[in-house]
Amino acid sequence: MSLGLGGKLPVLQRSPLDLDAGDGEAPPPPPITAAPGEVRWLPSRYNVRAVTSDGRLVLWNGLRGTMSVFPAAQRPKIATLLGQKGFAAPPRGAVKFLHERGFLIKEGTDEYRRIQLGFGQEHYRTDVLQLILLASEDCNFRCTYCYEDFARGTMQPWVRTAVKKLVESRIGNLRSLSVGWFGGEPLYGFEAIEDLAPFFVEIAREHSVHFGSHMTTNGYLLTPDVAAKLLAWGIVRYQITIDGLAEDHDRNRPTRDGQGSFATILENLKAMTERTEDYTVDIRFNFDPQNSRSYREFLDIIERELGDDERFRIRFRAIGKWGGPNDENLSVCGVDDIWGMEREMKREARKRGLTIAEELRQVHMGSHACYASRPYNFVVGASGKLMKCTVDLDKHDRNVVGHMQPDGRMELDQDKLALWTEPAFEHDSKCRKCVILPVCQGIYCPQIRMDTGESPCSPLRSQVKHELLEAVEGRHQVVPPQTPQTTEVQERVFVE
Amino acid sequence: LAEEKAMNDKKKPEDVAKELESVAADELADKDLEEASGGLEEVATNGNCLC
Repeated sequence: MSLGLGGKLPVLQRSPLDLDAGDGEAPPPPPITAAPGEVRWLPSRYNVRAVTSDGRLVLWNGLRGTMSVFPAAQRPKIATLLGQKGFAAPPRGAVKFLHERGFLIKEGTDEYRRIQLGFGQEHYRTDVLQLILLASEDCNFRCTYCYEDFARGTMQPWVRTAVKKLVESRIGNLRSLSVGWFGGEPLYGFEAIEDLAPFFVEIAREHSVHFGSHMTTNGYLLTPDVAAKLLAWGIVRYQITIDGLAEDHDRNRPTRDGQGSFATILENLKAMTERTEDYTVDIRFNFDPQNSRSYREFLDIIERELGDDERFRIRFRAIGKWGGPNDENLSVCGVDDIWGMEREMKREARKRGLTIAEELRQVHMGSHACYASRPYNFVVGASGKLMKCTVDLDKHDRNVVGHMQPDGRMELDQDKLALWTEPAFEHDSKCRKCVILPVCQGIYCPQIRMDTGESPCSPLRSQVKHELLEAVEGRHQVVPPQTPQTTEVQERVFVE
Repeated sequence: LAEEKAMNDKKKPEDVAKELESVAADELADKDLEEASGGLEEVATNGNCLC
């Protein structure tokens, strides 16, 4: 076959198409979107809307994590644009605005597929390692509702060495290393923290790997000296529980020899306010029918002692029967009352200018997925057991997914690992239809799914409209604009 | 909602889109209240985890 090149071009050595390849300069990039013109628009299936008492329209999109508030006068028009039938218009003005925030999508866009893509990009990362280390499985407290059995003490030296070897072997391929300290009470095993925490900071720095570290502690041993060391080791996010007024807290959270713990914890927290480092402390108030009666007086104390320090935030959790030996003696709030009580407490806290730990503006794709469901997250026990869920711990065989080996290898049971990490939403029709699927990804709590066979719903599912209204109407002050974030799903995959 | 429904019945979305074609973003929504999400700043936590 002749190509009409007169035999001048050796076509077996070079493509004739290269003759038109230009001068080697990069051509202008093709437009990512089609040229402006008529496009058919439909509302996103992940829109949630609410109307404030003064008639403003609040819109939130679960896929993009965007929120917009429209004046009352605009509300009917925006509602018309978001009607189910869709419409054709050029991407200008309000249409462009709504599209950029994900409230309107181009006809033919498959949002569910985008969720699958975003889920996969985050879930199956191999450049992230998250370890939750049980520095001590024993505890210096004996909280009435605790579900742990305090079977072991401080993390054994060989386990610490193995953890170091594991991190050394993985660090070259990581972008992000996260270390959470948990227990028991982690500070009861300070020797293990002192051994490991400086190592993590150093190795992450040497390899320019992003490092984040947090601790869930009862705060009793968080003295100024200890706090100084922990902060220097990059442990900058804390959850510390105070269960209300001193008498309520001391009843729920006594030390193991039966003493009160409220005063010591509060002193430690007050001392932390004197520090200059950048850290956050989430004060967790576990409420029950008794301590919730005096929540205003409790907030008085928080406001007076810690309220001026924005590093301290507050979160509310209803006490439940979480599997401890004392469950049958616990008095807990009814499921129908919990969310109303929590809303009331949050509203009161906001009114006082306190920072709430869980606000809708912090919600984004995957933010309500449980860490236990991520293949890159492991709990390391004091004796080297590798686990997924910090509630199941080693009480259920299904949760012991492997063991650390002295040489730093993780010996894993792939079937157990798969049980915790499966993309469950794909076979759950309730999840697939849910407006907050992008946020919880159907894995809010894999433990609940295993125990009950039902969809484990995040409270956000039932509370999202209330949260929307609170985000607008309950604001104590205007929050300063945050650093602009990219909102494309494929760019929202970086996990600390 | 009744008001919105009445408006939906009365106006076509195409007409509303045209009407709002030249509206700038900061006229349309409350800029101070508009917040993109905060990024993946925290490891998600199961609500029951204690210490």
